[in-house]
Order: sequence, then structure tokens, then C-alpha cells
Amino acid sequence: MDFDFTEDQGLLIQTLERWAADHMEIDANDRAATYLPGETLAAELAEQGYFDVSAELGLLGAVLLVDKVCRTPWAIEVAASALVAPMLNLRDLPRPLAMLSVNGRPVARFLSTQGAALVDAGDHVRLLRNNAGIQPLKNPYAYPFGLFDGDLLAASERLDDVPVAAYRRLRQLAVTAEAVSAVQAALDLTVEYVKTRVQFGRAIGSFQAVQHRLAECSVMAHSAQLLLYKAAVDNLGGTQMAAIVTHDAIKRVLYETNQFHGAIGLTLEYPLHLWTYRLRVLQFELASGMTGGEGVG
Amino acid sequence: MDFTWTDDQIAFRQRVRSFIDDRLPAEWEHLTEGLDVGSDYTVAFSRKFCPELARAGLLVPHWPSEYGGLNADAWHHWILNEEMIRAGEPRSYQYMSVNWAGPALMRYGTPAQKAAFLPRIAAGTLVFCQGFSEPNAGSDLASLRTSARQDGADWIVSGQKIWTSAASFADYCILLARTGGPGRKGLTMFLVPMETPGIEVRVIPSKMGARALHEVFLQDVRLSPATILGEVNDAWSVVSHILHYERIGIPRYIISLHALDRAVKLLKDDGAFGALVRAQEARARAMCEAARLACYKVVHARVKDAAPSAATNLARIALVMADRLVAEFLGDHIMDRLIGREDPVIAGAYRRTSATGIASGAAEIQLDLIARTHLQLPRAA
Repeated sequence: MDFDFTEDQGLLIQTLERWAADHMEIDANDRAATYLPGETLAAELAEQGYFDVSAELGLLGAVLLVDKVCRTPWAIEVAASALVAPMLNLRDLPRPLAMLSVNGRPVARFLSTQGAALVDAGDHVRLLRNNAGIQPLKNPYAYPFGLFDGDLLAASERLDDVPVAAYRRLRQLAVTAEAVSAVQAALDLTVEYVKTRVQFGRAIGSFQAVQHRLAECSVMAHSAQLLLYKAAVDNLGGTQMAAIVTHDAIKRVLYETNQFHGAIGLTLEYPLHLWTYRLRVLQFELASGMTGGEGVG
Repeated sequence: MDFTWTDDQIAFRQRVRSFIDDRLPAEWEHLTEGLDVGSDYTVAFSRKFCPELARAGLLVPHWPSEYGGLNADAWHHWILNEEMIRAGEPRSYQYMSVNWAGPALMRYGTPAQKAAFLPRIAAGTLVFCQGFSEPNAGSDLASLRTSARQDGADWIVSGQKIWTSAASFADYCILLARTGGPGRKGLTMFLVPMETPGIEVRVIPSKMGARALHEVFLQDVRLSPATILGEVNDAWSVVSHILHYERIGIPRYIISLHALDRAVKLLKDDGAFGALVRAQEARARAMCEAARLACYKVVHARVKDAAPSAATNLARIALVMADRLVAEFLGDHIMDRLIGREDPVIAGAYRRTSATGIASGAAEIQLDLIARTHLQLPRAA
């Protein structure tokens, strides 16, 4: 039992936190954008080799990468490319990499003609790449979305070497990592906000009603993070539990962060909307991954 | 990061488990009225069991060898606690003696006090209770009113304690009394023999089990200066030290997971473990596992001698959240069996969930601490 990071992991965290700190600012002109395109930053990370982090630092390394990168307001596709694909020995896929299912709606985050998509086809996994049938989709949900119009099975190739169960677990871990990151980011933003927002002559963060609810949110965020790390270290064992607690954390954090921001959180001029919309998407993706009340015991 | 146990830890757990299995009677769950740590049977059993544990080196392995321990690390202590809790705590209320009184004596006791108490605690022959809470001083402990006034060299104590666990069979009480001005700085800690004249104890019937709660009335109780632990008016240092040492309390998730396992088996046997029930059970179980990890993180920090952090408060709240989900699950799906008194383990766990957010300090105090230390939110003006 050891909760310390290795030296290499610690170094990765440090470097990424510095990197993320340099990319937290949102230009005034971009404030009302429904999402901030992150492909330039993704290319920068890819060039520096970060998308191969799992080769040296394993699943936990990839989880840490996702966590730190997704704290920034930019919509950077990192979870599928750096966590899911390499662990399935899928190399050199076009970026960004989306994740689709033949049983769901044919829409996905990061689905674009330049990139590729892993497709859950029920009993096997397929790959859709650079497809002209993909159209960008406009919605407020804080990521670039694409819609595939056509016959998904016909347009994609079967990946014989990818076990569907392993793919699903990895996908669940990847989305959980993104969600744990977004939960923490929304919470951090809110904690800073309640320290400075003054009403009734005092910072609203000094009210116990506010403090307790945010404290409970941080317990959920902390719990989700611990289960996420354990699932990564234990080679996906317990991923379902991490997903469940993260899903609970999202719902609590979504409500509380919006409540404590009040009307400013409803605007598109203040960045909470990015986290709110992201969390709503991730909430749905995590719920979809919990196939009909699958148990954990 | 590593979430596996070492060979040594696995062997230690196995040793504790075998020791327990060899000694508990077959009808243990029923004899103890559903693993009630204060049941007549458990208390009587513990009087025999604790000395046996001590002889086997399994009562205080985490204590330093000079006081009868084996210098084992906090992991061994935690594993020991997990296994005892899993078995229904056959040590009964040894917790206060081993985890609280012992460490406090080691740090603050006089040589005479150490000699008088530590060998007996290490031998498993002493039971302590904790005289802290009062009718008007619960979460706001520092406002307590039980007074100790000097009379020659002696101290005369009068007042009332409440919610005291094990008071009706404890040998000693760790008593907090006011010897000075208001607030934290006027408090002194006494080690009081429960048979001292002037002490009366009343059991408060409760849903937590037998003898979990008591009132302790103190009327002109005469105590010698030798009963003072630490310095006069400086009890708060002792309290803070020990709370840091032992703040996450007991591994409650073990009890709750045990009950969930039983409940799932019963529901499966009945063909009543459908998708929605399974999903609800999974939420409760996942939160128990999160609480387990949060506790392990605190134990890890202790082993590494790390400075106190909010990790302890986060773990306490995770335990509370987990037990709330477990209670809701059992209430939704097992209530008929609870009414029918079918399974003592489930009944015992369900009973204990009522106290998770209350025992050893209301959860809201932990939330205050998380807000201030972890989130660094401002205090109210």
C-alpha cells in the first residue's frame, strides 16, 4: 500500500501543472465561445511525446496526463489518444480520436473528418478514419462535436485484435479520468469565486451553508480521484467503482457550482459554462458505460 | 502508487484472522445479539479474549517495545482493526484503552502513571471510557462545565458527562474537567477510577446497542493530583495530539461491506437482485471502497510521519457518505428481514450506520475543518 507517486510520475505532474498554468487564461474575445479549440495545443503535446506517456509510465501516467490537460479550458482530445489507443496497441491513428457506438446516436466529441473514431460494434471494435460523412455539429456542449451520417459498419474497418471488453473498460477509465479532472476544475473555480464574491458584507464562502456543501463536493472529488488512481494502478480492476463515484460527484458538483455562482454562472461570459457543459456530457457518457445497473461485487 | 499488501502484511492479517476464528464460538453472531460490542456476552468474552490477544502479541503490536508492543507500523494496527471489526469486535470497548489512553500516557504520563497503567493496558486487563461530552457540550466540547476545584492537594470534581460508551463496565474514565477559565485553556485531564465514591452511572437505552451510551454523574468526587494526565489547564494539547493520532476512528466500511455482501446473497437467493437494486448496491459499495482508500491514505501518511492534513477529515466524511448509502440500500431492500430479525450481521451494521456521522464528533465539524484547511475558505467575520 503506497499513496506516493514515483519520482517520474511526480516529475510528469510538475511539468504538466506548469504547462496547464500557462494555458488557463481565456482571451476576452473567446469568452463566449461554446468551446475553445484545443487542437494546436494537442499537436504541441503530441510533438513533445506526451501522448506516448503510457509506454513508460503505464495507465497511471496516462491518467495523470488526462487529469492535468483537461483542467485547462481548452477542448483537447487526449483521453482516447493517450490512454485508450496505446493500451490497445493501436498506434499512429489520426488525431483527434473519437469514440462512437453503433447502438447509440452517431454523434461524438472530437469526431471530425481529420481524425478517427473507435466504434463499439457490440461484439467487436471497429475503426472509422478520415470519413467524409462526418459533419461538424453545433451545440453548446463545450467540445467540438461531429455527426456521422451514413452506414457506420460499412464505413469502418474491423479491429480483430482489440477485445471489446478491454476497450470498454479503457473507455470507461478514460472518461472517468476526464470527469475527475473536470469536477476538480469546476470546484476550484467555484472555491475561488466564493472567496471573492461579497454579499451581506462578507465573502459568500464564509457562510457555513456554502462551506459545508463545497466541503462535501471536495470529499466526492477526492473519493473519485482515489478510486481512479487505484483502477489505473490495478490494471483496470475497480474501474466501474471509480466511474460510479465519479458519476455521483459530477451530479453534486454540477448543482453546487452553479448554485454558488448564481446568475454569473448562467452567462457565457464567465467560464463556468465550459465546465457545466463538459460535466453534462461526461455525466451522460459515464451513465451509458454502466450498462443497465451492472454491479461491482 | 501501489494498492497491494506486502507478504508480511498478508501473513499478519491471516494470523489475526486465524486467531479470531479459533476462539469465537460458532453461535457468536447470535450470542452477541448481532455483533453488539456492548452486549453482556461480548463484554464478558472480551475480558478473557483481550489478555489472550495480548499474550499472542496481537493487542498492541503497534506500541513501542518498551511499553509491551512490537514496534509494528500503523498498517499492522489498521489491519488488526479491520479484522477485529470484521469479526464483530471481540475486544469490545478496548479501543479507548489501546488507541487513546495508552498513547496519551506514553506521551504525557508521569513515570508513575506509565508504570501503573501501561503494563495493564498492554496486558488487556483494563477498560477505559471517555468522559468528554456533556449535556451542553457536544460538538462544542471546549464549553464543557464539569468543574474540578482544588481542596488542599486534592481536586474535587462535580458535574455530568453524557453519551459515554462503556461507562457501566469501564475500570477508568479519561475525564475532562474545567480547572481554569472558559474555553480550551481551562481544561484538565484526569484518569479516574470508576469506583471512586461520588460517581454514578446510568445506562441510556439507545439504538446503537447495549451500553453504548451512558450518563455519568459526578458529585464531589475527590481525586489525588496523581490522577492528572499532562499539565493542569493543558488538557487540550493532549486531546489534539490524540485526535490527530486516532481521528479516523474505526474502519466502519468493513462492517458495511460485510452487511452488503450478506444482503446481496439474500436478495439473489430471492431472485430480487434486479438491475435497479444492483445499481443501488453498486453505488453504496463503491463509496465504501472510496472510504476505505481515503482511510488507507491517512494510515499511509501516519506510516510516513507526514504532517497532519485534511486527508483525515476527508476520510471521515467519506465514511459518513458511504454509511448513508448503505443504510438507504438496506432500508430499501432488506427492511423486511430486519423486521423479521433474520440476519444479525445486517441488523448490527444497519444499527451502527445511525451513529457514523455523530460518534466521536458531528460530521459537520469535519466539514468546517475541510472548508478551512483544505479549501481555505474564510471564517465568518
